Amino acid sequence: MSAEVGIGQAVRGGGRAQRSVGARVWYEASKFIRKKPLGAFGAVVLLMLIGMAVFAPIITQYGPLQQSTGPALAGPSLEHLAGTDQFGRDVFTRIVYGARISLFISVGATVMAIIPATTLGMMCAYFRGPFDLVFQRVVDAFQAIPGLILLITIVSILGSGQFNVVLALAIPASITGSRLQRAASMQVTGRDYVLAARSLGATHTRIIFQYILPNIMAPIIIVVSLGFGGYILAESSLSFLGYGVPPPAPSWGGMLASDGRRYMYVAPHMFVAPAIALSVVVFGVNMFGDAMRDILDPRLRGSG
Amino acid sequence: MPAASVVYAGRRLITNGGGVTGMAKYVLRRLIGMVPTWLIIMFMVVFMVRLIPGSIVDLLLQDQGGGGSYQAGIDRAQVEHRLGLDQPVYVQYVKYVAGVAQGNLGASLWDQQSVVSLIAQRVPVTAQVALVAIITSVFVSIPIGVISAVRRDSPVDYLLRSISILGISVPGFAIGTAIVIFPTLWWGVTVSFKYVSFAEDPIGHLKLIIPPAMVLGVQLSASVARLTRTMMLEVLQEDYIRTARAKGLQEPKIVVKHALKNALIPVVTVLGIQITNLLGGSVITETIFALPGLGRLMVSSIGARDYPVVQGIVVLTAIFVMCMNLAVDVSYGYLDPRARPA
Repeated sequence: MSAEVGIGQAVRGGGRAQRSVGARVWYEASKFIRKKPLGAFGAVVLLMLIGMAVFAPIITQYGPLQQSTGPALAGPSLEHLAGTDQFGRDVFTRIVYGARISLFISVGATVMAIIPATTLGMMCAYFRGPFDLVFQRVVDAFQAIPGLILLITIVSILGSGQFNVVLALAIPASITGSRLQRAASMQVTGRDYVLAARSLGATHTRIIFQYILPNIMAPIIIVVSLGFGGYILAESSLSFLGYGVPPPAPSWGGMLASDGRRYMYVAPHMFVAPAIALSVVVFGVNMFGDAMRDILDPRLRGSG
Repeated sequence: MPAASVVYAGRRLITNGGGVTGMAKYVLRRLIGMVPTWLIIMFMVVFMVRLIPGSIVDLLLQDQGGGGSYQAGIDRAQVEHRLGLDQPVYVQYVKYVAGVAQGNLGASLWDQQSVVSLIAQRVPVTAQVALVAIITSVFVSIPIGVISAVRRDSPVDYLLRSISILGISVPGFAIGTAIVIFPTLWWGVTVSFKYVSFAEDPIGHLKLIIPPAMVLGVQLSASVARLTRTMMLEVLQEDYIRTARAKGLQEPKIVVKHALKNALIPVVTVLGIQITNLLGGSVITETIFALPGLGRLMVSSIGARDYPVVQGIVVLTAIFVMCMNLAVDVSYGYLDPRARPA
């Protein structure tokens, strides 16, 4: 029966191959929710973050920089779900728009870091020799310097601002991240099909991108999902020390660090709101990353 | 956490024991390998601090104005020459390395105080906070990790895992600020910010150390708990555990005596790596709790463009971190006979 389903279709037995794409997505999703409820929660948080960022103008009635929308330093109310700050700006609106900044920074840093990290890691693993030796010393150097200090220095050089923060986050991450990709690539370079490709005369580039890269997708996904939350936290720490996205931009870290701290005694909601936003998002993203790692890491696959 | 396991897999597994000489040769090789890394670190830091816009000379001249050790009328070039800043960067780098090789880390550009003595003043506070953080977190997180692994996927496991992930999700400065602010709001208890040394007032000093150590400890505990859980899960799968069970050993004994010992090996490795994170976290906790530690010195020196101090701190902490990593790797070989270098 299965053989008659058709040449290109997945034949997994029974009628499962005949389900529509939508039904298959639903099936996989509900399996994910059942087996990894915490990861599913994380996925929901991630979707909410993206939703907040995209639909910000629709969800909120004020502007993030709009002042005097109500009495200053007022507590949460029906009008202002998270109260107002010292300029009368609606805190809830600023939180929602802050999602854009968090998303931009974490996605930006992830993308900007993963490409060099993976390329360098694959190159080190494949070519070995002096290039590998020297570059590993550079990686050691980057790892020996405390991260926050490196970030502060880079931001001091580049200047503050969203894009510079992304760059500052990406540079050390790409160097140190290359080590993991290198380890993963080394497992692949020893395999027979790579040797076979070489003896058939495949160029280095072809081998690297067509043989090694597809086989290290699992570590890449793990690193991406686990690193995401780290970038958000790092940006908030930078803002706390005064090196992050500058005011009046509604970055959660900036809101916590400057206004939240200053007015904590009189208007605790200015501190609590961004703190909760940060914590929930990073928590959810970490949960999601954990679930991804549990699913994708072959070492843990045997343990279910 | 993949990192520790990968290191484990990347170790060369021996077939012929090298013994003590093998270990000594390994340590020597590693120490020699640290030198180029160290040179790179110094180059990076010398180069990068000088890239920060805003020359110290301008700041100095602004600050000192007409008084101080820099009289009005001395022009910029003379100040630059006196500080050795008028030479090209690579010359300054070579001079710095030569100085370091002789044990001279230079002097602060602002008050001419020796960098070494400046750092020595600040290290005790930072070290104490870090030490308390590490000790408390080890005692808290390893049991959590073990319980989580043994009762896998139970409500207890989910609860503990959620708490652990919460621990690494809440920003350190939020925890620190909350510790300072909320007791004041709720109970009227204020944390003192006036620094007292241990000699002056031991109890007061300890009261100053504990809150920042707790903040650092929370984050450290969360990571270690998660890693312990992962490693315990791996180890509990192993055949020798199954054999022990078949032989009729009681479960608690199996867990503690056999599984835990082996599971803790990568955890030790990770603790070594986390030391760099602890130093970064110190920057934040020292800022919140107004402690005269290394982290705050670093940040203020960057702001003041005090190059020798920044360089000195980075150089010393880098050496410390590299030596810690080496010590961890050596102990790794000691704890796990399979991983000893050939």
